[in-house]
Amino acid sequence: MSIMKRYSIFLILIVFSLFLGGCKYDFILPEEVPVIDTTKPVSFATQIAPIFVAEKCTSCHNTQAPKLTADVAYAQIVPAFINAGTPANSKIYSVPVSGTHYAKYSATEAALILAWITDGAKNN
Amino acid sequence: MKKNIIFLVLLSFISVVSFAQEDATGVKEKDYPVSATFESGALIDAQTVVIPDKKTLEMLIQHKFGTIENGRSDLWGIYGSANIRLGLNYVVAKNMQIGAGITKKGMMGEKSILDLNAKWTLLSQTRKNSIPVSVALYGNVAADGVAASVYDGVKIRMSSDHSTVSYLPADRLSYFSQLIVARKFNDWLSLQAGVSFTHYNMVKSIYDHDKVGVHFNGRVKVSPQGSLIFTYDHPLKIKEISEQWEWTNHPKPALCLGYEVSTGTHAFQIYMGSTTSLLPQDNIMWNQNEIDKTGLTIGFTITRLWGF
Repeated sequence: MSIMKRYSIFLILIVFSLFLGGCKYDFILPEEVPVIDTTKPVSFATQIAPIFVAEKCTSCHNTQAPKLTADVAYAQIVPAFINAGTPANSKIYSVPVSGTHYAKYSATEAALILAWITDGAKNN
Repeated sequence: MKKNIIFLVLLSFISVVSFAQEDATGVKEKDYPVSATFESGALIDAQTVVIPDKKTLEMLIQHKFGTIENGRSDLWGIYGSANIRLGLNYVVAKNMQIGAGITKKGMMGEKSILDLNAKWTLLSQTRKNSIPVSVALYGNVAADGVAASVYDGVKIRMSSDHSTVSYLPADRLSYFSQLIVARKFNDWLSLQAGVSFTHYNMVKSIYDHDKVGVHFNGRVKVSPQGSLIFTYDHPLKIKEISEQWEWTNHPKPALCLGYEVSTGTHAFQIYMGSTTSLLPQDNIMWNQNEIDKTGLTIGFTITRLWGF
């Protein structure tokens, strides 16, 4: 019985140290979306094309349409995947943002792409 | 928040005190614990008050398949994406069990979750009712196993000093502790109720870290080896422990119904329920499955005992 009691105390300590030890209340903060400077045009070559590599779009979209590797990406996207009248409906923006496509842009990337389309989807 | 932790600690000590009193006064007439309130330590995805004999190793294989909504195209979820937990429990002393397990995924899409757990049956119901109920205490700590790179660029606000940092290993941890009270009413009916406290060290800024849940489980024996079983878990909305102004995606209650076939060393349970989680904290904190064909899944639990 005394052995059992010793165990009991031991176990109470384990259970509650598991529970209380290192109890934290940390929050994951929502991603901050930087305000895109509309006075300067968004550059396709230096700001948009790298997103397709960074998000690993190109690991499938190097043979599948639309091909998004830097050399052909612009010709593949414009005009087929751009809706100049309603930029947010452009497929290059809407599919990875709200569609069922499994890979998604980060909020910052989405904002940059939308700004670039709004800007006229230039090959700059 | 802290109030609840204190509440649960106190609650457990009340039980300890009553246990000690039972010891001190001594029961003159010999009264033995009832046998097999439940057939195994696990009931579907819940814990029961049952702990096998000392020095018994229990292996658990738990499966929950995908939702049944796709019908025959993925055989009602059986060929959909399954959640799996493999666990081992060992009874270190009479009525005390420690265990570990690995779960394939949680509601937040983790790739593997390691959990360590302990269960202690404080009180065992006796045949002559000198102790009318069995009482058990269960606790676990779980660490999610996603690659650290998932946290790249994620900003985390520390609770201690409100500074913004990048990810820390302790942010992977979550805790679940539960007080369970059970009664075997007669040979065919056993019921149990529980209250639990769930804590996650890190959540998205729209969610709460703490959740209190209530649990009901039961068994209705329909043949010497077969029983109908059920579990019900209800996460409570408690304003006092919420850190938010409004409830965002408040977790949904989970109901599971099943059939159990058991022998001396085996229990096989097959069931259908409205959750895909196998860890209790995952269920209480994140379950969004409805009790309809979009949320119901088929699952099974197998336990195997070895005595040493």
